[in-house]
Amino acid sequence: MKTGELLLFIIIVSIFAIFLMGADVIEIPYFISKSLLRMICAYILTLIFSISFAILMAHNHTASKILFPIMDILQSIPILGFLPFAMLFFIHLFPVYGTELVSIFLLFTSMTWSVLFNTIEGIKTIPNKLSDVAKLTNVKGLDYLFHIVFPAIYPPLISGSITGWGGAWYFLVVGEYLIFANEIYSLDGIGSFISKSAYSGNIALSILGIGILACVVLSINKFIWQPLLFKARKYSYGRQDDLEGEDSRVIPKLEIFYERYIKNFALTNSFLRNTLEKILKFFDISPKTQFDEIKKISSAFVLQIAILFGLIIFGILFTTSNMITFSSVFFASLYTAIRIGIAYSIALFWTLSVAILIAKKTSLLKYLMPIFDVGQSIPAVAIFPIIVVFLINSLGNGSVAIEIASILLIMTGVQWYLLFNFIRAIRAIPSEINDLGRMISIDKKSQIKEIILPAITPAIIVGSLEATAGGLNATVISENIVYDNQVYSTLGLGYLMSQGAAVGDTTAIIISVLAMMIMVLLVNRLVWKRMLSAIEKYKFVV
Amino acid sequence: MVRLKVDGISKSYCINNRTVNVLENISFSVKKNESIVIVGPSGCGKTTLIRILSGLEVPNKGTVKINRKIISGPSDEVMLVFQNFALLPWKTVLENVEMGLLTFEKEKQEDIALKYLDLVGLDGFEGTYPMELSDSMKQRVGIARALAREPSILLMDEPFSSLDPLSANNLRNEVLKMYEKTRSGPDVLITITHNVDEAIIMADRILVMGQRPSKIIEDIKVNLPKPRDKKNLDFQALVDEITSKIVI
Repeated sequence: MKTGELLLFIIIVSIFAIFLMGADVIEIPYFISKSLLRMICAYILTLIFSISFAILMAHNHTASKILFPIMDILQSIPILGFLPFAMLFFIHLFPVYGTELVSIFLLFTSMTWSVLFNTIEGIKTIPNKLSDVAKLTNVKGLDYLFHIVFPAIYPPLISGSITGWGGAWYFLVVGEYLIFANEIYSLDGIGSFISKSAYSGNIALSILGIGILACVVLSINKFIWQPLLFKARKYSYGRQDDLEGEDSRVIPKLEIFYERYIKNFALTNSFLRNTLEKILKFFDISPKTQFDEIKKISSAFVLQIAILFGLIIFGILFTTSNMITFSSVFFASLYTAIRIGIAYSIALFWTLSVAILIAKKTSLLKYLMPIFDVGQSIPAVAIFPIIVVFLINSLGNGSVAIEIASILLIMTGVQWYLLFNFIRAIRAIPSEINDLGRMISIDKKSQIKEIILPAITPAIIVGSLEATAGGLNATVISENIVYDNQVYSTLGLGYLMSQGAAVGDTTAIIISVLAMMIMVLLVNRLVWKRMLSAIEKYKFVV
Repeated sequence: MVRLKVDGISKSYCINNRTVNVLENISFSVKKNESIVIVGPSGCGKTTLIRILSGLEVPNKGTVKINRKIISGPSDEVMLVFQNFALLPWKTVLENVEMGLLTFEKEKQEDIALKYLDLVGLDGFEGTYPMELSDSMKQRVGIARALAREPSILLMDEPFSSLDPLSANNLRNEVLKMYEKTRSGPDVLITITHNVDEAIIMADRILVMGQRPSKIIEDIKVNLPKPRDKKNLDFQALVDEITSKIVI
């Protein structure tokens, strides 16, 4: 079963559904185009922000020293943590377009980090030889950017964008239907269509919406991202094994557009060129052979945590909020951590099992990949109200049901990071190693123990780092589920935050965001980053 | 005594719905104590041939017999030395060699591995990780791992082509010495290369392969005295002869 066939199947089902449900779904094409427009706006912002900051941070020593710690902190804030502040800011500032801006901003924050950090890495892979040639032939300024930097960042930019878009679909469902300070801010879009149907208890409609959204996601993957990834081969300096994809007819048109209207225009329009050259000169952006190591702010770590703790205590002491007390914050953090821990363990268990299965029989990937693609592309947020109701009905106990549902929902925010990292790692195992295994007639147990598990160890750690942060994001929704105009909630940081947003309690929001940041910083620094530094020897070098 | 007999093997692949014939009707046999080198232009299917001999791939037609038995997959009789070493980066040198001996008891593994590490001149590097080694030392580990399995046929797929010429030269001479001296070692050596000098230095017989679909276009016995001297006029004449036969 190929992705294309799956797509066709979903389209047929959706058309069938439209016939059955009639008027309600007639507007769906309009919703899809509005949502897509929002995604594109957010993506354009992402590109401008990420590429310019990446170029700046990779080339300018002072800028990288100042910006890296800032970006690192901002990155550790759960994306939904930005939301309440964005609402306050945009809606007060622009009463008319505020909601629109908030949803674009939310999408932007969910896309931008993977693009930014990937792009920086891309600039650093420019071989020294090439920078030397640039210096020797006096290629600099805009020419350097267009002829050397942009081609070099193309492959990592595309893979970062795929990750970013993948995440952004998840937030589309949230961002188009916001509840803030007892008011509902709703936009026309496929995301709000799904949320609205779910909140009002119309299961059939919300499932239809999810199916259509999955279909849109898959089409964009198939017709835009896969071909772009295929093209990226041409520009890749490093290994090319993980750049999969297939060609298409859309991409050459995009390339012509870029060549003609962006590259040529920037290089030949004298006013634009002069301005840009001045900016580049000001920031000292020129071919470079020695890039700064990304300094992780190690000494500042204790300070960061101390400041965040200080702010929390300050907030609690002077709060007027009736949700916030020392014990509520403490237990909320504890429960959230436990829930994420359980969800992470279950997700790790099943993804590892699947990964081992795939490593032993690579041909399985051909059949499983489309299923994983669909699985990842469905914003799980949307199906959850349905699952909660199902669990409550079948278990007859509200609090157990909401716990199980909450953990399941966190899993959806955790598992794909793990799985896709594992699959990438398995693909990167050199074929010689597999040959070796066969030559020494290795048995299945030793194959897992001696080859597969060590080979995916780095992926386990990198995946876990991304997954735990993703899990925290999911708690904002999973601990406070609205279905059929009824709220099902359970104590946790996510609950404090979404409840705070719902009633407009700023202190509750700030304190829960701070507590989340502390959790992310602590886990990253004390667990994952430590492990990361110990795994250098697990990487295949060719 | 015939150790290895290749009988009419052909192999084709299907790439993008197109059938590519890589090998066509290849037959030869190798006697005990013979060192065979297979040379040919790049892309002629040398690697496919050695993968078939090692049992990693199955030919579409024809058979490979080792000690008169048709092989259907990798066996204890044969071991392969890889072009890019195929070392596991998370294992020490010793553990990498022990990988070849997984079916043995743990203590025996270590004894045998140490013996062969000593043989390839890596005494004292047992606890080192591959990333700390030079390429030529990495290949020594690869060779030690192959020899430790005590195969009767040792296959080498461009074993020195990832090394710089000086270390390649060194290691090649050492491998030849080992091959000639060790009694318990392999008694058939089959090497693939595109370096004609290397072929003449190592071979008792050279098989020259043609363009795809490849056949063996020449089977040359090398009668020069060992160790072979590149400055020897006969050596040079042979280089010219073989080079002219490799159609590029």
